[in-house]
Amino acid sequence: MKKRILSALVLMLFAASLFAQGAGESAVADDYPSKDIQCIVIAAAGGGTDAMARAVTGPLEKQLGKSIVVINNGSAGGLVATGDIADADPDGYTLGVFSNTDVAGFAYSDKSNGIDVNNYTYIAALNTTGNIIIAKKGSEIKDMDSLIAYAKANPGKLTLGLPSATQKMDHELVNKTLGIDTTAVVYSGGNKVFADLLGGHIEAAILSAKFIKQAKENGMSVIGIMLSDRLSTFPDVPTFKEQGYDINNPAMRMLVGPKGIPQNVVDKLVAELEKGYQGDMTANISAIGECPVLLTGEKLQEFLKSDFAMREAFLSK
Amino acid sequence: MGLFAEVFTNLFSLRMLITSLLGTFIGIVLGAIPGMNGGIGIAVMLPFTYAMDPAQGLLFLGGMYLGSSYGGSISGILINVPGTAESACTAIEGYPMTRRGEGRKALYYSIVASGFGSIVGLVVLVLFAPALASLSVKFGPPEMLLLAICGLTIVGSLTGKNIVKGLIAAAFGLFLAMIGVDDATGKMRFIFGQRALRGGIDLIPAVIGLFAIAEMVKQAMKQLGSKGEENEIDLKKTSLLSVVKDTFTKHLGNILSSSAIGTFIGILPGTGGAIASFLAYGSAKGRDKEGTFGNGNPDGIIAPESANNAAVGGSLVPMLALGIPGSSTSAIMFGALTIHGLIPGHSLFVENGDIVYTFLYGMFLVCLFMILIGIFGIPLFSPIVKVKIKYIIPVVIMCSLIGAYSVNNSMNDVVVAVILGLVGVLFAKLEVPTTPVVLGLILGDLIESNYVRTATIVQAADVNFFFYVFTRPLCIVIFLLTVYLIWANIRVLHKSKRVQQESRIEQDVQEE
Repeated sequence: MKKRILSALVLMLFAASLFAQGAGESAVADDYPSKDIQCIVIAAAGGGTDAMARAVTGPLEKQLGKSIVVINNGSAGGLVATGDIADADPDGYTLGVFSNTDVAGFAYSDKSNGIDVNNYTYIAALNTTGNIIIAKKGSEIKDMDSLIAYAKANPGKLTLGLPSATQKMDHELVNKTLGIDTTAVVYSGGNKVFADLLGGHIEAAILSAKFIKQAKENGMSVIGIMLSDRLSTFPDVPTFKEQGYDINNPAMRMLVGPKGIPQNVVDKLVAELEKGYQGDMTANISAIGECPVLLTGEKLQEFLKSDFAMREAFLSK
Repeated sequence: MGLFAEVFTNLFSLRMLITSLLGTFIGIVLGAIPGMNGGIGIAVMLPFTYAMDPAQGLLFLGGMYLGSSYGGSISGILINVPGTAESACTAIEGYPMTRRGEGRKALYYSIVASGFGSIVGLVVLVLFAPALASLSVKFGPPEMLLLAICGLTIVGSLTGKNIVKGLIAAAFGLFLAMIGVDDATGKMRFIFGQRALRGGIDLIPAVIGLFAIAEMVKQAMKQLGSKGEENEIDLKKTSLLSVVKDTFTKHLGNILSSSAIGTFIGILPGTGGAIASFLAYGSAKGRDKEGTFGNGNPDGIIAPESANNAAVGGSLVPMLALGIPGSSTSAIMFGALTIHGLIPGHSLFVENGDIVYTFLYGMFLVCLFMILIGIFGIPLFSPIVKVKIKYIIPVVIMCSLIGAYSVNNSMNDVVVAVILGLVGVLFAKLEVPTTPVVLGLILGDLIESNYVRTATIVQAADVNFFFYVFTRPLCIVIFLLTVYLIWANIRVLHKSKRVQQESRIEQDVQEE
């Protein structure tokens, strides 16, 4: 009798795995899209990546006349979903949203992750943002000069909070370019870093630009943003470059798909995005405090080539 | 006064009332269905709120949050399948009461405690949000490390006679927490080459597997053994008034301290209702004088239920005051705010006071709805204990699998839930309790990540680890609390052993 229950459970597992393999037939690319599209977002609902994806897929589904079903999977910081996107059928009916920093972080920091940056079709970059350095309220660190002076006076003692292990590259870039020695304290999520910065448990932090408003509100100093140009959304935050330290480490969220999506499908999506960025999409992205930038085709491939090369050099040591 | 007039006219519009009622109702139902929970519901419903105005959307989500914190206890009490990790302790005491025919009484205790806890959490939120928010950030990595270790002492309370088996279960939970990506380095651990394990073991599929699936398999095995005969479970009538009276006389100290624990734990970022309910249950058991916990003691329902609902208000404190969500569910609500271009924090109160206060006062309305739905719902859903288990098993299994899938929209979690279901059955066979596994899983990550952070900070500061930790006043307080809890647990363990021995002696005497 017990065997029967066991075999039922085994069957259940089997059915589950079949479900996961569920093959979709590839449709003719010419009449794309002829059915609903799913878009795998590698973060939980309610976060910045999710908001970004929805800001674009909302108008896009109206333009295409088919639904785009957003599937959130933030498991393991997005690693699982990033793998799922690569494994999908390259028919244009499974798309995904992640950023260059996500995919390169997974691919280069640990080979056993099973992520390869070459397994994707990069359709378009949707926005750009960068990381900032914030010092806690009441810290001696107020600007770039005092940051460097403090770090040099206390080698290894300046604690810098990082939202995840993927940002270790930013940390190394800062150490190398500024010629200082700081200690990285790794968290799981920017909110936790910000909380500990508020509590004064760490001296400073590398955080995404979206924390600028909260940081200023709480009397913290924003040292600079690691981009070559100031963000249009935060025109008063200086770049590292203009302060004499050339760090350009943009994070761009991208619309992607598995490798091998037919070119005419990519062209169709790019054309629709270009239309959308004339109106709704740009408005939506600005509304969530992000900086809309549409980068496609050759320009995108060029950017990614140099960006991935830089990240590989740093991360796969 | 202008603001308040505006807030109240806004709040008592038909649109708002319907939204909050609907949110609360959905929350309770989702909480009660094994496998579903408020977090999933809120994530699924989030896109719908984008079209609502901010206060309305927040109240809808807030209703679901509060409702599901209560709802999880219903299935825990009636069919021993806690709908959420938060109600795992409630099931320990609630289900024995149901078996005694006191299912209704247990449910009344649960709704009264949940309602009271919610109100405490919300009052604290409204009155002291800014002050407490600044206290919450005082809890840095060393404090969180000690607090999580303190939480582990609850293992003793979750275990019956055999403390070793409880420790084994907790250790297994701690091990499960290590699977997947190591936060500090980004490297994979213990995935045994299985890509499905890269994401680690999420709490929800674990709860679904260990409680829902395991319980249903156990019930099925029992059925097969007994050839279809079922033990009829009685459902005695109980008066709500007597339960309310008892709660606020006999159990007053418990409900007050549990609500306080819940609110406080909720306020700390990165915790949540589950830890709150475990701690409240553990400390209630520590105060138990008769050694009757584990056999259907109402105190063991009141404690976790008031705590997990109080944690709702608590977790909104740092979210609204600082923009730091206190729990994963409030993190989703944070997202709902930012989508409207509102950044939570001090300026939100100043610039968008109407939205914040409509939401805050609206939550009391939500709480009222929850209490009403709870009380009037009890006669409706308590007869489920009369339903033949063979009809319940497939429904629960199906809901569980769907629930496990919907956490990350991933089949991996379904597989994890089924495997842990088998583990749960195996544990039951070996008489190892499964609740400590969940405790270990929740605390494992907190302990490890905060240990690594503390160690890094200590190294950077170039001081001794223990010197750094024990020169922080909050750390000393938490450490003393831990020592007290261990002592209280040992005392209770001795007492319950003595109670058992005495009753055994009495039995022997009677038999002679």
